[in-house]
Amino acid sequence: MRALKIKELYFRYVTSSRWALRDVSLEVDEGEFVLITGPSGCGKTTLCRCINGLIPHFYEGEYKGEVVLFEKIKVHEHEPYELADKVGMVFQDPESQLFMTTVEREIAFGLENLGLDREEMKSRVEWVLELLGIEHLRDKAPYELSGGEQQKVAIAAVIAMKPKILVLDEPTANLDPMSALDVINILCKLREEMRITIVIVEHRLDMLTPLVDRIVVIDKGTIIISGSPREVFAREALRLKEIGVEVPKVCLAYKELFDLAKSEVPLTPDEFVKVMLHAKERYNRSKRSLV
Amino acid sequence: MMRMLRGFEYLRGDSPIHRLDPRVKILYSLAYSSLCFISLKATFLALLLAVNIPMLIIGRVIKRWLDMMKAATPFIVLIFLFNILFQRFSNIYGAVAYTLRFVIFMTAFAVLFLTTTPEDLALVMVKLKIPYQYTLAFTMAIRFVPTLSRELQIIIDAQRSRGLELEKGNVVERIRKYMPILIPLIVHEIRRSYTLAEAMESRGFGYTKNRTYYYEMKFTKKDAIALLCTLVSAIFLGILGKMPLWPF
Amino acid sequence: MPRRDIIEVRDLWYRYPEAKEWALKGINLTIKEGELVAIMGENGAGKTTLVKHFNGILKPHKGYVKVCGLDTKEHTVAELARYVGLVFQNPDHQIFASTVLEETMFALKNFGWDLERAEKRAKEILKEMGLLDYIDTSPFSLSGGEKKRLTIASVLVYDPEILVLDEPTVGQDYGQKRRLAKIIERINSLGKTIIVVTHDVEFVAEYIDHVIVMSGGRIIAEGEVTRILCDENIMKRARLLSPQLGIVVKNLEDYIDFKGNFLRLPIFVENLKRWLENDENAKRI
Repeated sequence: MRALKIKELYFRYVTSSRWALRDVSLEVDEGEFVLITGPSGCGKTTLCRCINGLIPHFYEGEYKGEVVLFEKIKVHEHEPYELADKVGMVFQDPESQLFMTTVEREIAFGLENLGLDREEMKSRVEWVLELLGIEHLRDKAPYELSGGEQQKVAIAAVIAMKPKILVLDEPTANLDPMSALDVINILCKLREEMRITIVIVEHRLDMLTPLVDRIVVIDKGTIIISGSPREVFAREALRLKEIGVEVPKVCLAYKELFDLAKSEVPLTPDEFVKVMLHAKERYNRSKRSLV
Repeated sequence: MMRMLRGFEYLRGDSPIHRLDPRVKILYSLAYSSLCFISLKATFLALLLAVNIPMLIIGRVIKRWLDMMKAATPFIVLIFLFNILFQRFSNIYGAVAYTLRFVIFMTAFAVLFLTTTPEDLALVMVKLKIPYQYTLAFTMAIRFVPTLSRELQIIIDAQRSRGLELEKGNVVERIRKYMPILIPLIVHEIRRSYTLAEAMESRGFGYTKNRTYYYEMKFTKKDAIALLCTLVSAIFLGILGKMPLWPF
Repeated sequence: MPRRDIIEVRDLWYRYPEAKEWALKGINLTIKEGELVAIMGENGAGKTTLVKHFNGILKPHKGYVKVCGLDTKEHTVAELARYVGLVFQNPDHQIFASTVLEETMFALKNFGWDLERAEKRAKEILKEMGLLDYIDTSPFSLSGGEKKRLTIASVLVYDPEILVLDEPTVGQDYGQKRRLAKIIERINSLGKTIIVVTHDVEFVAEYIDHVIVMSGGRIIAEGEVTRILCDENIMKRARLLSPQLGIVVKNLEDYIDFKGNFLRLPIFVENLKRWLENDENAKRI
């Protein structure tokens, strides 16, 4: 089943004269891990808002096309709060999405909104604290937490509502490398244990590239490239670099060394090392055979 | 001035007073602060003040209260002098009485605020059937105080780094100099309020009219006893205050 | 002509008010005029605390900081700010004026420049930053990248000797980072000293040669980027991740003797080409 189906979506903010999204069509399967990227201002955040209903209800404007969840829920027919237990959204700034005075209360907030009974709430809070490994933060206030911890709490608070789709808008932007890695590992864990569909918007691609199923590139409001990470970097590495999307250095190095458009482009340093050693072996062998 | 307000800020602790149900403490504060209007006899009021002290000691917040009193001394002296003038130097004990009223008022409420978390106060508001958005506004305001003060400092640093000198100039100039500090702060916080609203909606705020609550307040036997004691002592003191026992 | 020491830090200790721990523990550092250096470390390592001492926002509890020969304890921030331009991370924490021009002129007004000269200079710098079209628009309506350029412009406008950028790459896409690096290179080529505070390892690997690493309030390493960013121990202690090319070099170190600044793509590729084709730089095992 398609967890998410976006069909010919157009959106223009009421304050703007140009389309923020133009003719966007995208289908995401259940359990897929999709990375959305593109230069600043391309429409990535706008797309996220269309998935959980903030557009068109919170942000007014001209809206054409449709976004459908699980093949039955039309997003534009529901307020964002109605969709909160189906689509969870994590925003970029950790401080602006934690409203309560302690972590435990923060996680409970969404559950209270859903009107769950106390037993259920308690069990979900415990479950999510353990799942994300943040039991030790239970009584801490948001300002006592590091950026990475804050984001983990935000993710916990959203996951506690048991959505089937998780949307994250540049969750690691304000984090240092270790904290970013931490958060990304949590996402992998969630994906494994909960079979949740994840849509993540990011600029920093190195860490995510080997982990996602698909990369979707948006530029000026339309999807220009879509495919598995290897396909995308094999075919379009240079084009991406030009429009301002970060291409993992090993992909670029690979393209410089091997002129043929090979499809097995390495995505991580380890893969690159293997490729180099293989290439060296082949080269030595061919040299020997010539002699 | 700031130090005086700290007497109304929650002080982390685990004393018997901390553990009391907030409703009992609210009643205590209301009862004891209203008692000071019963009489204008300085001796009675001194007794009333003294009765509060054990509460502060049991609550282990006495040091903070003393700090507050120290910081409030200029105000206390001011009230005293003002009253002396008002009464045309005739009745010094009257002035003392008014001053004591001020102190008792602050003390009775300090007992409440020093030992009760803002979240518990919010819970009381919920129980009183105040619409949740107001309670939420209250808790969120408290949650953001440390964040706001941190951001204020960053803004001050950033503008000082561009040569802004806040210490120089006359009063009018100094006020104008605060514009580059207030404007980014206000704009930033207004923008943040939109992001917060988005995040709240995305977390289901408004999903159902019948919102449930994770925490509950349990009214225990200890609370019942404390409540009884408060009421009985308040009535007793009230009657005592009305009797012609007090010299001045 | 030897370059003078433009920033001298000796045994600097600093603790925030009401904090129990020292934020900076005995920092010793010398930065020479005209250098382009990165100060790296995880969030909380003390990088921002350190650079706030350079323009006097923070004063040392122990030790001293000398900037352009001036002891920071004996000068106000306004005096030191003329020499050190500090650009903070989030533009929203400083933008306040009604027009872009006004915003840019703010520092000049504070320093007492006459309005005519200030306006002329502001327009000059805005032109260099590609923001001339926005002179009369509200700075609040600019995009994220434009705001960033504006904050840099509002500091460059008074031509400080030293430019400090605090986490300039956060939230920027690759193209914006490239543009930023070009600005940095241009200013550095004019002889200005530039300090970039960041945890963005890839950015440093691509554009900066000299690096200082901090962790827990101390400097734990200083030197050439190729040595430091590929050193597992230093990276681990600093809670940073080596850049991709650095990891490759480390894993191939038994086979190849990499030469030059191999963290830059062209040199990295060159090293590998030579190894592949004629074993030029192979390691004799």
